Amino acid sequence: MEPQVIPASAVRDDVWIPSACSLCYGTCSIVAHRVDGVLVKIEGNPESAVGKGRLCGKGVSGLMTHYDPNRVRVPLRRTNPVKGIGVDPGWKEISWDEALDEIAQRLRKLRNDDPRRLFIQRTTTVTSSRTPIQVFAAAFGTPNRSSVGGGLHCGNGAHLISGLMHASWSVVPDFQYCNYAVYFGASKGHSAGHASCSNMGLAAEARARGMKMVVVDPMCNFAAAKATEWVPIRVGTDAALALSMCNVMVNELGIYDAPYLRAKTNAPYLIGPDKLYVRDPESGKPLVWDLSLRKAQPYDAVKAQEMALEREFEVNGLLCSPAFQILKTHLKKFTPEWAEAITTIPAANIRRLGTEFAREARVGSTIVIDGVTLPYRPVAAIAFRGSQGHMNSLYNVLAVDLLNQLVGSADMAGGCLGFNPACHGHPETGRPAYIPKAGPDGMMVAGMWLEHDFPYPIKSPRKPERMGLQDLFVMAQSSPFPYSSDRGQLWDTLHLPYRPEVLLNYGANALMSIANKETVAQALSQFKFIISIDLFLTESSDFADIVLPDCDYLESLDSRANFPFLFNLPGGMGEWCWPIKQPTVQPDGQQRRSSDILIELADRIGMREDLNAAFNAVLKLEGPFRLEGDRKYSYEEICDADLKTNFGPDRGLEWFKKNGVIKWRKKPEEVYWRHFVDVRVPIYWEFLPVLREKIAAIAEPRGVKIPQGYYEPLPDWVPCVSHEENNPGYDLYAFYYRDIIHTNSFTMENPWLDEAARLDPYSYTIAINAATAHGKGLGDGDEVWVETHRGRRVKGKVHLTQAIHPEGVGIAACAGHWGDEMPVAKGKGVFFNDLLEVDFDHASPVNLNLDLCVKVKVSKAAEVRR
Amino acid sequence: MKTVSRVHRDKIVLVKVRLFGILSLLANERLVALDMAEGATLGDVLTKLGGRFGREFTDRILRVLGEMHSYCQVFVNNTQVSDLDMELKANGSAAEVGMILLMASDGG
Repeated sequence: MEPQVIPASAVRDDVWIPSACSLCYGTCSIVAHRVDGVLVKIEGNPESAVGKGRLCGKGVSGLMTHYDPNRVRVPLRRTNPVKGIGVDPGWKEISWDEALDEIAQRLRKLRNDDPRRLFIQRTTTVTSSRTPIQVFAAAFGTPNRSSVGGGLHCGNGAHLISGLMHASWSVVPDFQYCNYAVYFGASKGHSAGHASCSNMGLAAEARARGMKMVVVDPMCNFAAAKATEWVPIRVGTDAALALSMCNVMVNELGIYDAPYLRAKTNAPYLIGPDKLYVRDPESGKPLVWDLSLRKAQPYDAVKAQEMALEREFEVNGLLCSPAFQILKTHLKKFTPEWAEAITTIPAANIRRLGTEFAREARVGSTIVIDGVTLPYRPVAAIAFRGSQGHMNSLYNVLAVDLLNQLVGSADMAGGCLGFNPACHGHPETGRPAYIPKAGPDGMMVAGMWLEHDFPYPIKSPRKPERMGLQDLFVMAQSSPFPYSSDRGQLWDTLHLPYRPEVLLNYGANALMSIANKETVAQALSQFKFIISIDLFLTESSDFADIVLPDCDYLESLDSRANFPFLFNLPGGMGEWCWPIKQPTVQPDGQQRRSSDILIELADRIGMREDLNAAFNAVLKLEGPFRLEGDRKYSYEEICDADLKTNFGPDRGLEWFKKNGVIKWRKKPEEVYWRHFVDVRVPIYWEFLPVLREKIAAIAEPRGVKIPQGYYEPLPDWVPCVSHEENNPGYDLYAFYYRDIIHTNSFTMENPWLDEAARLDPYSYTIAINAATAHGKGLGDGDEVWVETHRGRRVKGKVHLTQAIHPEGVGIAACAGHWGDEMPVAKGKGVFFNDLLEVDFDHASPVNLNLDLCVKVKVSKAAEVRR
Repeated sequence: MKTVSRVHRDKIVLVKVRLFGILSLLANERLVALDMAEGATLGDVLTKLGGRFGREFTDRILRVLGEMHSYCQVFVNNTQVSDLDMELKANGSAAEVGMILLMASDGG
């Protein structure tokens, strides 16, 4: 690698520029120090609530990614028509005009033929890429988008349940007031991601204050290392533990928040023998049993305190019970002794955890915050990436959230908070304002969502028109099927009326982030044309026909660095904060901002008016700030309109460039909104059996089976594929975890982060329990194969530790680059995803979550013969 | 959707519907001009569009009868609306309606 010479600048300056990080999706606020045209330092922005002046090691290392000489700086066109793993594309440099002309010509024709043939995928790391891509897709007319591995592995369970139960994208303990937090495969406040730097400070203060943190995880990792107690659990069995804890609380101790359940959930709704609501014949509304009138009434005609939660009643000749009674009975089988066999956690510990959670919840207590009296439930059960990365993700995460619902800690002081589900808006403009509201059957509809396809009301399934089949499997956000080994067969079977032709990729490395590379490579090879907007030439860029050089975050502009607030603005009391991302330096080559590329393409395709309409709709531009007709707008003008719509004509882009952020104080009525808003959430998912029937009516006549066990209205223990495999010798469960030093596959090229990872004993190794390893004759540093019974295998060096479950094999993702164009990243770490199958059999039949745990054997590399 | 209870047959409101994205491609039109009776609602406009462009068109807009999909964004005289019972009034010479679907989602 030649040392890069940064040309002397004629500009003499010494400035600190407020902007936003994009080394992970946390998007913490930064200030970038530029001296004479060169960036010399990046720090956290102390003015912003996003990070509060703190910045993690990734953020401060952004300089090294920015100045990496291996960045793509010119448009490229492949000359080699053959595509494959490790095949040289034969890149030649072309001009921007030539690149955009060809792309626009192809897309224009495609749009006229069938716009659905365009598939757009993006990296989750650059949070602000969501809006321009969402807009472009809507204007173009394609329903096919993907957030690739970062999205697929992350949230089909976690974000779905957070949306349905908390009106938010994710959940976090109310750090300021929580006394007891149980983390299930989560690390909020101890690693990257949503509001990461802010959460790190809040979590540290909470621990210093005495908050007890229990971390349930197969590995004693970033969160568990700081916890009061680490509970090693067999991979993917979180539902078993959580359901058993619920049983202890409800049936052994009799501790639950009855008033909350009556008023804020469907616990009192009467359920008939068909597992469905008993409904009022006239209005169709679900009925509850009115204890004072001794009869069934529509749920909104009865005061909450009069609603029965238990017993059996006869209504119109049918025996029925409140949903809570059914839940209570359902929970009885999940004894701690039963759960021990599944989770390997001793029954006594399970009983203790359930007891501690119930008692610490202080059901019935109140607290005064900023002069407002609120229910006080200082316990939180948090599930995220670890517990959701399985076929049984829906029940795993739902069972965990049931803990919060049973004690009434959901979005209450001290409890489990959604990230900012309600906002009353800036005091001067009243914007952005949103609040959850009651929808069908009184169930909560989120006030804001990252997309316009809200998790509730549940959509009606139909014959699929989307490549990912999400319009059939309507509980799924992300889908593995654009990449799966059986995608063609599924599309044929389910009569997808077209086949994808063109892939537009923004920054994602699908070959490394989804599953085994052979299957994904086949999927990529079938596209007739691939456009990739990249910072670096990745393993996936090798499949592109045209690569366009992207500006990085230090060169880019966006008005929505941390909006919607429910994604990565800190939850809990404090401040609302709207930062922007702005260029801190000009690009040093021919790089262009992806937002500008998309606007230019829209022009060349002939859809400028559609793009303007989509921007108006997505950004909710109003009044004089709405984009007009087919007038051409720069992205600066669009960002300016966005900011002025929300904060008034005097606070446009120039104001934000100077000031960086706008802040105002949160109110208890916003943070603890659930106490003030008349909405309910489903602890009994009555819609699931009905949904299964509708999906099965479409899928099963075409040979696609929809198993009933995933569609029951109450969470249950459903094993993953790995739990049911009993091949001799394959006795360990391999899983991956998101390293705190790296962001997916992106940051391994950063030399500072690579150096930190090489110093860390775990980042590039295979973690295995020391006693287990000794039993297999393995020593620390031995090179091993980790292999599935299907023959997929990865090689790496083991690190022996007591900090992992005896059955666990932990690998930090997404290492193992093999491409030549990221020389720092090449050859570092282990490519865990190569162990993963991607097909219908390894995806949840309810929310399409990919199964990310695999049963493996581990053996010394020298011993394996092929 | 409520029906127009009083039809002023001699009073017509010109409704200009601008379709964007997939809706425009399905209809093969950008601008659809409709003569609607005074008092006509947004729902009445959708009914008329459905009659012209077919079930496939309205299925993309309506979740169930009387309710639009959350990803269907409709603007009447530049203000976003979701109430199909909203009466359309001219802003100048016509009521301006814009419709676009934001139907894709990519998770994350």
